[in-house]
Order: sequence, then structure tokens, then C-alpha cells
Amino acid sequence: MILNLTMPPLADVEAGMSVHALHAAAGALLAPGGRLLDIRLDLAASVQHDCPPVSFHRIVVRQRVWLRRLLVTAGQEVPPWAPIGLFSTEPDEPEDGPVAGPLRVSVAMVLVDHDGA
Amino acid sequence: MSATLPLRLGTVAPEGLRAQRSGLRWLVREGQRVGAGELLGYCQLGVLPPKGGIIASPMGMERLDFGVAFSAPCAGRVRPHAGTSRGGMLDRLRAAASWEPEEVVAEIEPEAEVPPGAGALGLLFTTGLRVNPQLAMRSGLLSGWYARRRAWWGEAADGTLPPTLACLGSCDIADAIAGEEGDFREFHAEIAGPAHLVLLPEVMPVTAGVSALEAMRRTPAELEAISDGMRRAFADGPPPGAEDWLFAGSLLAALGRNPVVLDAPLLTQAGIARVARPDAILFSLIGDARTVLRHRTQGWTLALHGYRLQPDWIGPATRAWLDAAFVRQTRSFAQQAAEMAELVAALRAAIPGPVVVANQATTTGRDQLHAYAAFDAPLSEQVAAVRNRDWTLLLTELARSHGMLVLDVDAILAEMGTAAHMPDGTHPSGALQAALRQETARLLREAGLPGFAPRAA
Repeated sequence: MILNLTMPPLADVEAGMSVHALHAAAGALLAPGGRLLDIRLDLAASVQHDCPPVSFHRIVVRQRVWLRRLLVTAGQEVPPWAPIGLFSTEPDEPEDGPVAGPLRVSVAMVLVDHDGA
Repeated sequence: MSATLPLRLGTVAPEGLRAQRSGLRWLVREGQRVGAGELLGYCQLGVLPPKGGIIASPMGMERLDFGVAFSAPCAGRVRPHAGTSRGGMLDRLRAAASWEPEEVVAEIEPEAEVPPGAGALGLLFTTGLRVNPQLAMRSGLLSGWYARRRAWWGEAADGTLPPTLACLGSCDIADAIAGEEGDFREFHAEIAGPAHLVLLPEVMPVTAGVSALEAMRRTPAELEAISDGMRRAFADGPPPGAEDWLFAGSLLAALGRNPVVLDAPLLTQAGIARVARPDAILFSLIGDARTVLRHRTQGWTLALHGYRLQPDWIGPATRAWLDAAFVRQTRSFAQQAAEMAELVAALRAAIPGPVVVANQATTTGRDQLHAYAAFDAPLSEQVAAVRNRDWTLLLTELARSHGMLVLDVDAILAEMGTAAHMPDGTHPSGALQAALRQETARLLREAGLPGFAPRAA
């Protein structure tokens, strides 16, 4: 079964979302709770005050899947609902098969050392 | 309905002092309906002894932006008198007129019967200690850049000093205390008083947490050593420009301020008194930075919000100094917790009244968390919501062990809604600020601090 993942809309206002860190590479088997990537959320685009509200959010998978294709790179800006990756529940399923649904994930705001804290 | 009441300026300068004022700047329109206690207007104010120039002012450096706002004695329709406002610089500089206590500057048509003698304007004194005396901005009341700003009512109740609340300001609570215009009018309108409200804003470093702890202990010799180190770094590094000197000056001034040492002159109708230290202190966890810069040789902490270090915010000499003299240090929750306990104990020992600490929201609305398996222990080092919950737990323990009070921002937000009232987790709406003021007043009242009872309707 092929599953996809799109960028969750982390803010209800216009925001800059980019890939801060990748925790898995194409071909990796991810167990439930496995880390996929960290997103940098910058609300400065819509909240233009002096102190840019920057936060980081980790996406972890909630089901056992193989990461078949990663569609983003570290540092890349990714708008809401843009594709992040394709996953399969079996290791050798064709990637170009029909997408059965969205990958189930958890998202949590995490503490990350960065220059804009 | 009562007859129209003349509104007189009243006494601002007790016996032995003379007062001058600017033209009046009205906040109300002709015939506007106002509530009792509502501010009607304000002016700049100068108070001097009979002889001596302006530097003889008992307000010291806070003479520069000393002002007074007038409040309505009762509800009604108010009519400012023509000619009291003169416009231009005459409404900004205090030399425009002598202060005449009997001068009628407006009248009010009360909505209900008022007792005889009830026509005196309420006088709210405001002043600020400029970050630098050269930085003048008199576009409004307390409209400059201040290392501290404060306001108090001028009535002398029984000759005793009003209790002083000092807020070590960060974005989440500073403007809740100082209000929409930064002149404390809302808080003063909401409490019976008398009270002296002081804001010590984040001029450069954060004002709470480790910054406050170190500032309370810093000796003049240590401050001189910091200053000397900066001078040498600027001499040896890239040539400093205006932004470097401004950064250095503001930082040095901030590092030299002890939050429990106010030494603030307080003018009331009874005379001038000095407030040595606050009776109560309020600060928030947002003012305690997780990541700080630690001086490599002197060991002191520079806790700045990271946005202040953006490339176009600081000059090359400052950047070179920061890079060479400091090491970046992310503190563990345990370390921050120990310092917080130390700070609360030090504050409790230094002031007679309550120490109030505001917690942070524990939910952002952005988490969709089903399990913590993906995060390493301890979770307080990884998951922001868990860290904030641990903070609230720690504050609750400190409340028991150290007698401090918790301003439960998290609980208030849970009632009001984080998305609507603190969408970025830091900056509150006006409604939330009002709720934070109300809760702060309740905490102080229940801790036995007089002056913070709700104002009668």
C-alpha cells in the first residue's frame, strides 16, 4: 500500500515552513514513533514584529512503513499541503502505484538550538 | 442630574515646590461621555524648589519625561476648555505655563448626583528613566525609550508610601501591566489603589531569570571589568560604528541595573519620598532564556533574545566581540530550575512582599502527539510542551517551598483560547492582557498587598 505525506498546515496564518533536519533517507524502514524530519516554522511572514516567532516541529510516523521517496531536502521551503514523501507498507511495492491514503504521523513542537531563539 | 462641575487642576507641588506645565493634550472630545476615573488628558510637568535651575528637580533624571494625566472624578459628559491646549511644542515642553491649582481646565456634566467638593481631577503621575538622557521622544505620555517607566496616583492617602509592584518585563506580561498606551492607565483604573506600578522592560538582555540573579549580585568592580573588556575588544577589533556604541552603552547600562534597587523619587500631594525597592515583583518564564552566551573568561551570562543578534541589528565590532568573548550555552531544564529557585529565594529575601512568576502556555494547538516514543528522555529537553509543563510543576513546588505565587497564564489561556489570544505563544491580545492584570491584582491582594483591591464601580 502506497501512502503519501504532505506538509501539515502548522499555522493558521501565512508562515514560512522549511525543512530544518532530515532524520531518515529513502529506503529506510521506519517503525511507529520513527523520526522523519524537523520543520522550521517562521511566522514572520504574517506576524512582522521585531522578534520573529520561530519554532520547530518534529514529524514522526505512527505506522511501520518504508520511506520510498523523499521529495524535500534540508533547508527547502515547503508550503502547506506540498508533498513531502512517498511511503509503502511493503518494501518492494511499485512506487508509482495508486496512493491509498495519507501516512499517519504525529507532530510535536521540539526544542532546537538555533540562532533565532 | 447635578449641575455642571468645574474641573480644577488641583495640587501637584506640595509646599516648598513650584510647578510648571506644558499645554494640555486632551484624550476626549467636546461633550464626550466618560466614566469615573477615565483619563481625560495629560501634560508634561516640571517640579522645582523655589530656587535653582532644572537640575535641582527632586525627580532627578526622571524629570525629563515627568508627566501628569487627569482623570474624571465622576461619570458624565466632559467639555475641555478652549485655550488649554496650545498645540505644537507648547504642548510638549513644560515651560508653557505655571501650574495653578485653582485653574479650571474643563467641566463635566455628571450623570448622577455628586457630593460637594467632588470636582477634583484625579492626578496620575507618570515618568520614565530614559535609556540615555539624549533620547527624547515626547509624542505622548511615556512615549520614549525607558530603562524603567512608572505611574502612581498623586493623592496622599495618609502619608504612607503606596505599595510598589515592579514588573521585569518581557513581551507576555510587560504590556499587560503597562497597558495599551504604556502609561499604566488601565491597571490604575482597575484597582482601588493607591499603588505604584513600575515596569523594568527588556532594554537589551532579558530582565528575568539568570540575568536578574546576576544583576542582583554584580559588584561595581565586576561591572567595570565588563566595561573594560568591551573597550579592549572594540579597540582591538573592527572599528566600531554608531550601532556598536549604542549596543555597548545600552548593554552596560542594563547590566548595571539591579531589579530590587529602585531609589525612585515619588511625588505626591504630601511631598517627595523615595522608594528604595519594590514591595512585589512580577516576571515571566519567557524572560528566562534557555540558550545564553557565557563570557569565556569573566563567566557572566549574556541572555539575549536571539532576534537581537540578527545580522542587520548589530555592528561588526559587536559581532566580533560576541564571537570572541562568549561561548553559546544551552542550559538544561535542571540547571534553569536550580537558578530559578535561587532567584526566587534571593528576591524573597530582598523585598518584603510577594514574588509572582508567570508560566507559559503548555499547548500551542500545533501538536498532534500520540506517543512520546520518538523523543529521547528527558522529554523536558526535547518537547516544548513537556518543558513548559515541567516549568509549571516546578513553579508550583517553589510556591510551596519559597512562598512565591504563580500567575497561571496557561490556565487563563485554556479558558480564553491560545489561538485567539496568544497565537504565537508569546504576544497576548488586549483581552488576555486585561485578564493577566486582573489575576495579578487578585494574587497580590490575596497575598496581603494593599492597593490592589478592585476599584468600586
